Amino acid sequence: MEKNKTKTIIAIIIIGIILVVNVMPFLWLILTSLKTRLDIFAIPPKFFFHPTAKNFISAFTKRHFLPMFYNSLIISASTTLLSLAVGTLGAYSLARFKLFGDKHISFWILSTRMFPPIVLVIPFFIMATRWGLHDTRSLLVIVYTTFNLPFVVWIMRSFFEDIPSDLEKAATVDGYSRWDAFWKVILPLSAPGLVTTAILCFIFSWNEFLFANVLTAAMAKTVPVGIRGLVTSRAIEWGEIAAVATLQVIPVLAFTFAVQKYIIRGLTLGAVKG
Amino acid sequence: MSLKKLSVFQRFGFWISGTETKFKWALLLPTIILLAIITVYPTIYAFNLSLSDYNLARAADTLKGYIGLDNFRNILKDPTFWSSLRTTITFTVVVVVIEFFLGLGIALILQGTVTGSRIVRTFILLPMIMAPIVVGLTWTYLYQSEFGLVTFILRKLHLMSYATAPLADVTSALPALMVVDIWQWTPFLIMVLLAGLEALPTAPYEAARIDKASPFLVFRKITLPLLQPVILIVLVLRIMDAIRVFDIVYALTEGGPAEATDVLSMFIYRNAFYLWGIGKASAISFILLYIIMIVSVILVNLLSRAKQTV
Repeated sequence: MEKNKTKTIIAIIIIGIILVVNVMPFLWLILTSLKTRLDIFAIPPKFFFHPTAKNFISAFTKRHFLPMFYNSLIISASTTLLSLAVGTLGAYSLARFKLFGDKHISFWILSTRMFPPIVLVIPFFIMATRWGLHDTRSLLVIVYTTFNLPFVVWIMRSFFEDIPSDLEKAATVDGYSRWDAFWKVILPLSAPGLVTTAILCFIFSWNEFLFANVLTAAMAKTVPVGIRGLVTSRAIEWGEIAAVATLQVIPVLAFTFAVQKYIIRGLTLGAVKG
Repeated sequence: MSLKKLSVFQRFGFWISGTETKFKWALLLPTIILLAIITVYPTIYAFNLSLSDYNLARAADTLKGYIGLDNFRNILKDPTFWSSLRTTITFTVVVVVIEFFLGLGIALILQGTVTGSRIVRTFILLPMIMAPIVVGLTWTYLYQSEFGLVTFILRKLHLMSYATAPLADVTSALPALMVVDIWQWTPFLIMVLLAGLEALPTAPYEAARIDKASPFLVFRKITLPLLQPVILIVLVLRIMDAIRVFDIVYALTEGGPAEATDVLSMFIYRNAFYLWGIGKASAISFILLYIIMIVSVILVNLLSRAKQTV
């Protein structure tokens, strides 16, 4: 009993250290977003100061971040819908039927996840320019969808596999078609999986930088690209970077709070039932 | 119920429900087609580019010419390629090893104790859900030579002289980059390994307690073998991500100073989008692709062997 008590105390101390280390940079980001130029450049770094909303205001008035947030939102939401619609069907098929070649197919689907994005960014850039798709939101939606597909397939497959297949059998005995059994019985049961997968897809697209940076210029520019754009050769607008970055992280934080129970399972492609 | 009364959607349902084979492929085909279009075709396209002299910095009429394997030959002779390969390997090995031991150690300590409320867990996960580019910029700010918080603390602790800053020095830039990756991804390993530990069966541990086995023996003979599949999965995911790291490098150093942090992804990006040498960059991409393929084949083999033994 005594031993358990010491362990709990050590555990609490460790959690405390992790929290400080993890949250400190983010907290510093928020503090910076509320500082004036003078306070940002202060030596030694200032912990107490008069907060100002100037950075937030200038990010939207001077730097035009509103259309970028709009782009990010539209692109991430469309990507999420499209990859869920296509990937869930594929996942269900792989989870329920054993047919010739499906081991190879699942492995191939997973292997596209391992593909280094930098390899694809060059052909995409050239093809997009040639086909007049450069700097369009649809292009990013297509690209992000295919990157999210392997993820959706693997996660949803592990969720479907947890649902007993007797349920479909019972449904088909009751006169449902296979499709109706899936649509009306299995899909509603996998709702928690769908929500988690949707949120993770959204976060991946919301955070993506490399493709957005190469494949957009002005019209379809997303928030991460806009934030990086505040680093110029003349000056780095730390106050505005901090302000936009804070706003960029908040939805992700809220989503994570909602689904943190499943997030580990999601990020390990369902391999760890966390 | 006649077929006429059914909606298009239901008719589609009836149509694909015909046989099991038809149903399976009707559901799976859209995924396969989309993935093929977006990965297979561009890969072939990129391979073509890698055999050409394509350079956007040149006049349009001399843009490209088929030069066979010249790009590959030149790259293998290029010392900056080898140094960036070395940087990538160093980065991957150091980062994954430190993250793994830190993660496993902390997970073992936290196992069986309160892992905290929702809000605590959300904040533990915070670094890995932040956009890597934002993580990179946040740390760039923390590492700033004049007003960066980390630089300030390092100087106060006499761990760094006033003459330099973490990202400005050739010897400290790569370690500074590693710190950011370790900061971002150790929480991931902690949470995954913890989930793995908590899913382990209890029977072997009870047997060990009756036999009065030492904690170290229990760890080596029971925990480690049982946890092996989980360990391998996180290692596979982390190794893959570390080999292709880009965003934080781009935000923090862009490969500098003096190519000290020039990982392969950054090397490719620089060749393609700063120097416009599309052909050469595509060729390097293929070398990176081969490296990742070899590593992933080895890791997947390990993984399937581990799954068989458990």
